[in-house]
Amino acid sequence: MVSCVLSGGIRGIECFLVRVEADISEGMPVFELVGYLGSEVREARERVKTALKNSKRQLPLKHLTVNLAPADIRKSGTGYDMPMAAAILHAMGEIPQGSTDDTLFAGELMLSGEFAAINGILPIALEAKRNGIKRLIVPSGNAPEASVVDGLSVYGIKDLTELVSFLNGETVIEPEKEPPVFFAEDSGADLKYVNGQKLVKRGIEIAAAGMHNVLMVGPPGAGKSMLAKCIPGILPLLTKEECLEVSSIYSVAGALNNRRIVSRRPFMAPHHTVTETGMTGGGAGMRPGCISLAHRGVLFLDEMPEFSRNALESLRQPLEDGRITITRYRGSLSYPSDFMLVGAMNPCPCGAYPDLSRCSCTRNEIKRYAERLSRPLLDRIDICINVERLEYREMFNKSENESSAEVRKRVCAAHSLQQERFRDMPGVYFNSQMSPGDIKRFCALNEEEEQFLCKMAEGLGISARTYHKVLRVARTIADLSGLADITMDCLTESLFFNRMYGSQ
Amino acid sequence: MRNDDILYDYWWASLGGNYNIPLCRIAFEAGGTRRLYNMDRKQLVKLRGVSEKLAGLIAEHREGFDKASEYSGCLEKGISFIPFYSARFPERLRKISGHPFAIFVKGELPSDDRPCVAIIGARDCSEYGRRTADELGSALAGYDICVVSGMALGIDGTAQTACLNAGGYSLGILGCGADVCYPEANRELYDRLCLQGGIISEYGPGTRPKACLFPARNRIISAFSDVVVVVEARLRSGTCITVDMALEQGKDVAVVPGRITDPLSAGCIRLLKQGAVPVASAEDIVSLIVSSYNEYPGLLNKAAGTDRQEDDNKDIKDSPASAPAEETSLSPEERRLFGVLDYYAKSADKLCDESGLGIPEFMNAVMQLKIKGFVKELGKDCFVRVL
Repeated sequence: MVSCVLSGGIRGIECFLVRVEADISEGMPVFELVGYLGSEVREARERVKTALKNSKRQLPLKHLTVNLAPADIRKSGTGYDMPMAAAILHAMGEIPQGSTDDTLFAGELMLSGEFAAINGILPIALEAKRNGIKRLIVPSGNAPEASVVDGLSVYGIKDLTELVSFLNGETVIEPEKEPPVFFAEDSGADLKYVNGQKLVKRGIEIAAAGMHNVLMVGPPGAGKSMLAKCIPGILPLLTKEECLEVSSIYSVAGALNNRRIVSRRPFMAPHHTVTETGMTGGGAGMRPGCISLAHRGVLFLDEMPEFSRNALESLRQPLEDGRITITRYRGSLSYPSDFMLVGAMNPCPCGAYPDLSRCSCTRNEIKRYAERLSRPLLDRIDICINVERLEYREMFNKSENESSAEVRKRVCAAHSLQQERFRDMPGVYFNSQMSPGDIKRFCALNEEEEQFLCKMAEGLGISARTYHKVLRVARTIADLSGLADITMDCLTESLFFNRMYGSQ
Repeated sequence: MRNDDILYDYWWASLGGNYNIPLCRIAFEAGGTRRLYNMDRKQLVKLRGVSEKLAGLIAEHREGFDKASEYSGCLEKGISFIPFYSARFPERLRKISGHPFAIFVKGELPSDDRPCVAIIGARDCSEYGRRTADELGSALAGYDICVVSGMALGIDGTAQTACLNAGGYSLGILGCGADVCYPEANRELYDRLCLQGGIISEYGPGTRPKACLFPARNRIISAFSDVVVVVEARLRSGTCITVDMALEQGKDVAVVPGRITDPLSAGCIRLLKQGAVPVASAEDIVSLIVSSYNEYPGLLNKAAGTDRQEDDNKDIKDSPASAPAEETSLSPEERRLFGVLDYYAKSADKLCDESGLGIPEFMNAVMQLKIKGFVKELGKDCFVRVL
């Protein structure tokens, strides 16, 4: 007789349902395991066999076949141990008919028969809910994470013995219920601790309001990193859907670290030695990379010119599409990676330019340093700000600064204006995503403003390519002030922030 | 003297450029370059000042050096080869001790009765230095004074370019072959000097620029000049080397004063303390030349032609070449911002605070000033005033 239980496999951050079938028939006592399996799944045979023995459920001396369907998708990961054990126990008659219906199993087995937590349980839970499955049985370590998805009874099980008695109705286990903490406040960096830097703060507020990418230029110790860390705190809180989406990525990457859910905007700051694969994802197991872990948050690249050319150029597609597609020999995967890029760089190799009294770099060195960021990459950065080192006087200034929470209120207002504007345009949420067509529609200028912009752009030597950038940022500035039309002041400010480093 | 002596001289002169070798002395010691050429290693080592290593170098230089074709190749490049005994060798260069064995010249040499002024200074000069060099260069051209310098970035190149722009004559002394443009960024200046001025090097064609060659070329800069004018110099700099050479050669040293707080002026301030002559305009330089030398009657007339009394009261800011554009063309905000700008880079944040303007007004003002050419942006959002 064939027994069948449900489980889930992970592909990217998507989950697909897998039917684990087990059959016991007369014949040579062999344990056959089929279904296009990765090596870690094939090893499950030994784990299941030994764990069953150690739980006093010896396998019968019969021909045992286990199949993972659909058999044309490659299976990887260790989450199939539990459903395999459940299917075999069912086939052995250890658990009653019907006890595995409408239930999804996932979890790793240890030789002792205990279950261990696995990565990627959240996408599996989400997929279970989508398919109308009522019950999810997972290792107790995974239960809090899985219970985030509502409308699903999640049972955390300790070991095989407990699983059998639970399915037999001998033990009663309460479904995991503790509600997750959404909307956590950000900790640490707050703009109220940043003295001075009036224009920089304005710049990052605009950037946050329209999700524009930013480049900060300034000497070492000017506070670039500190300001970057403040950015998640002025972005709106994650919505519940966003939380689940981001948490799914972290779950697959095994980066949840006992947190049940990611409730703050991610802030990823990879070191400049990061490889292209580290940045985009891929490698063994096709894990998500830094840019996907920064999804819906901030990707901060400190010392941007020091990053390898490949790592930087790999950002171009994700910056455009909000997704990264990784193609390897096993196939291709797509991870979401819609982040706000915040770059920081020194103005020259020694960091002191344009303070000629301290800078020891030659003009050529400075030029070459600025040129390490490629044109196409800079084209995707809308705002460039200079961060100046503070004077002592200002550093010890005790006056009250505006806090991140207050700035966030204005940013949220701008975001809701944008949501209203783009409500019938799927995939577009922010001004920074506007296509040239959208810009024509939403950033119309009056005769007077148009002339002003032309004159300024010409005088400042701003190329026609950046014309759209100017309008996108001007739109955001107008949104921040609650203006329906783009005014001259918006254009001025936009032009000021638009000029890139190295274009002077 | 036989006809092909020049070929041996050419061979000997093009040995320079590897190291600083006292070419002249060794040639004397050996009794001529032809004899040098024919000496074997043992004989070479016996000469005073020739080490084992140098003898090897000389022997090596002999190998595969086709004198006739190299020489004609040099001439074909438009470079004339002038050994020190030639009548065309500049008198003022011959006067200094340790003069070059020969020079390679592109363009024209200044005639011996044309007054020459060296304008030298920092490569990474400030806007103030650049402007000063520019004004001095073009004003000196007006007096028909040759501007001598090293064609470097910053002060040197700026002064020379300004001199050429004003239709004057300028002389560039290189630390590499006369056919090598260094720095590449000054290619335009190099090309113009070939046509409108002159380029001198004591190193053979094709010599790459090397750090060790530059101090030596500084002695040629000072040798050519009647006055050496320092515009901006750090305490330890190549400019100070040139000044030392000039003092050794008995030339006048003039300095354009800077601020005492500015490291780019530290070298200038020290020179002033040591007794250098402060100058604030081309007129000051001219009167310095006139008072020290009686050799330039033409210059004396020209200087006398202008009203001296008035000149003395002139400082650079009011000189006609740099009259600030009508400040009345500025809006009140722009004028307010212009008032707090400096010749040293100030960040936008600081300027915004100091001018007391609101953010949009400030941004508008600063970009308008930039468009109108009153400010220059260094790096990103750091501004210096231009006029």
